[in-house]
Amino acid sequence: MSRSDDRKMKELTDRLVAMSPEPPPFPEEVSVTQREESSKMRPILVFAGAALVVLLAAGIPLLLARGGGEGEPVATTTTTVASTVTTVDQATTTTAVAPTTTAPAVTTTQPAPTTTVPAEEAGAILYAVQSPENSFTGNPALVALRGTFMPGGEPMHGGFEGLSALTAEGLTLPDGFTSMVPSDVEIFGVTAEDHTVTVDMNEAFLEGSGSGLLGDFTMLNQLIYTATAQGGFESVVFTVNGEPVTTFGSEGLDLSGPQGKDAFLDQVNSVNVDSPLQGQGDAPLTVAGFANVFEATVSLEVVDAGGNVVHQDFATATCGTGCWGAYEFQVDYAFVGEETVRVFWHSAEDGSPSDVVSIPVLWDDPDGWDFSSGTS
Amino acid sequence: MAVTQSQARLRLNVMITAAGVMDNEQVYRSYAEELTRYATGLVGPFDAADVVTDACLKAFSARRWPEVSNRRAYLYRAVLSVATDHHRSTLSRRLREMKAASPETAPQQDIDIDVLRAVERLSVQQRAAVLLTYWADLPVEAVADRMGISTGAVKRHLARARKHLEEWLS
Repeated sequence: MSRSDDRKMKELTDRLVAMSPEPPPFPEEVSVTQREESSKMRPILVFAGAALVVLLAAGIPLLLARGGGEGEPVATTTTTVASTVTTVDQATTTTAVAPTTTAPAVTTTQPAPTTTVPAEEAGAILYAVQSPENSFTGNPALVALRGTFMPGGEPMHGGFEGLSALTAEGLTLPDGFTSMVPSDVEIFGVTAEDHTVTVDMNEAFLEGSGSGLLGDFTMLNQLIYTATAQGGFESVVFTVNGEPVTTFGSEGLDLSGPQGKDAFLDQVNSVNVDSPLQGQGDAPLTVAGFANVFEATVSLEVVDAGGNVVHQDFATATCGTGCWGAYEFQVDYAFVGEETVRVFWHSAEDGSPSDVVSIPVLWDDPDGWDFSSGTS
Repeated sequence: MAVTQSQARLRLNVMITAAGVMDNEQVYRSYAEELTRYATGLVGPFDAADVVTDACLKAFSARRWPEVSNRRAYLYRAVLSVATDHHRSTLSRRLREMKAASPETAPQQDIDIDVLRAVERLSVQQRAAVLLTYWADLPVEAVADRMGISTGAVKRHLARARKHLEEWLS
């Protein structure tokens, strides 16, 4: 970036902040906020609070009866009174907002709110979909992408972060990629046992993709492959509010049993990519995935920023011509991060590249894509 | 008149709580102006005050707030967090409303439409990276710390912001 551009960026930011209004008055409604947030607490915290109240209610008379428990009940009372006094004290020093601060004077007897400020960026691998060029079937390709996102709440852990990213508000994917998982689908929890992952979601999941049967299958494939991307898992059980799913999507599919990675393979492109296309330094780039192509021959091209094919290769999948097989390339090319990798097979009829998947390569950028960047 | 144990505790609690309130107010007065400027860069001048108020309320009520050593950085992160939750299209909507509003009802403050139109193209994260780099003059490591992301992510945000602002820069 030139010095001239730097100057302009500086000018832009100066002009932007010059529009700043007067700072707002000191916000004194802390106790109001606490009460509002407390009402949204998780059931377990509510239960814990209720248990505490019961314990205190039972314990106070016992302590009084024993004659030695004056300290604790007095301390509880004191806290409440202190809060009242403090709030009144604030009110005396305030102007316009003072009246609103007097009402919640007794809220400190409730547990402190569980705040999530500030959110932390999380890393994830997720499967996005792409409409391949020169497609034989019209089915979308599954492509693994690695990146970071800003979770709305506590993200999944243990390799399931991709599920959080896939259902995060404002998910943004690189150009040419999309997701069929609706943004109102929410994941309540993930458990893993043996080779199966159980994903519990809200009722929005039952509505499917909202884009017809192929969209529903694609949505399921995205969730299945994302859930099993790490950890060697082989199948996924979908539940909604802890209950098995018997009617899903536009056709009311029965998903009550484990759904293997091959459950909906008839609805994907003949070439799919499992390895996020990232690397650094001089290391060769691994391009791996699964394909069902003529004579199991998968082709690869590296295209530079100018559109020139700068590297070509082919690999033989472990199965082909009617069966799915795994393939892998080790691409020994001096990437700079502006290249695109194209994976496809050559048509038996005319030799043209078919079912072409195009993926931009990220180089020297271990964080990967920014899944939360609104306009990228 | 003798002071009972419970009365002493009451006074102590009042003093401790009052001291905490004063502390928050002092912190707020120290940083309110720059936080409002930062929020203006993130969400525009129309909603900046609300974002700052929400961010400070959340920060002050956070359990770890009393233990936070760098409160300024924490408040910046809180402002960014609230701004990110802010509806993405709010700035665009506000600009449309302003355009449609009659001169009498239009906001009185000086609004730089060209700049807002340019910034509208950026995500909140990109705006934050640009602001902290060019307005606050922070190095990339400090920007990363202030945003709670990696340095690589900051560089990406900046690169993408420049790409989106190409027209403005040309």
